[in-house]
Amino acid sequence: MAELCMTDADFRAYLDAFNRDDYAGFRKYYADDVLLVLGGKRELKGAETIIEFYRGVKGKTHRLIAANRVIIGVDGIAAELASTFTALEDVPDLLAVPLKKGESYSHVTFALYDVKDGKFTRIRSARYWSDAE
Amino acid sequence: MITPAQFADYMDAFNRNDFDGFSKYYAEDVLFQGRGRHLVGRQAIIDFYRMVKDRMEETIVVHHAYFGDDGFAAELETTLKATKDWPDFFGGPMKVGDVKRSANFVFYLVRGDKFVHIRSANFAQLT
Repeated sequence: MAELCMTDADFRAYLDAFNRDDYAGFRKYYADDVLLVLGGKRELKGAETIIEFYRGVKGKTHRLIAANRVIIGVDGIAAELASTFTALEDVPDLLAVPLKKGESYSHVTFALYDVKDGKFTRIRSARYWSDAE
Repeated sequence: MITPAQFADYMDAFNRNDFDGFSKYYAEDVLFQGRGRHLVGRQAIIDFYRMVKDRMEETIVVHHAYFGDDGFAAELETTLKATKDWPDFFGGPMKVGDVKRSANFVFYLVRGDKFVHIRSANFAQLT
């Protein structure tokens, strides 16, 4: 049987690091030239660009991601991720809906990760559901 | 558990409009959710696709699939070509000959060798 590209534990450790804002902890899962594609539209290229993007998001919201389902393959991962964003300040245009400080927004995304040598080389995310719909 | 060969068989049957061939993979109580559609039961899904395929050619290409113990996920590219005008098509008005292509991420939950829950998220509209 072919070897899987990552262990389930490693993937969940990535999410744990993300959730506790451990930038070095989740940065180590990114290839230097990783590509993040959000909803087929917005593209962010490079690990540092993505980290800066998340610093911006996390400066305005507290985001908690839970993995509802994770399927590890030989060269990639499919994950169903439930995210809840809680606004740390008024955020009129960051998410699908405007939030006032203290308000929350949740969505479920299907994310596909291309993996090489234990690192994400491409991450693509599609929104399946949100509480704004 | 569904094998990669069974999933390929399902998709081949779907693409050649072999309703018996693809619907044999649906559990009687299968649930389909995605892109605003919520279909309950094998017959409801068959009826839905009979209606769609009466009005357009639908071809699905599997770009990637990830197989787990109780289900699998797939990256699908769907091409729809209208064979009849469909002004109130849920994906936007279509005239004969119009083509829409989309990329979708789909999760399938499986019981035995049947799909019990199919959930689709649109990643990108390609054309």
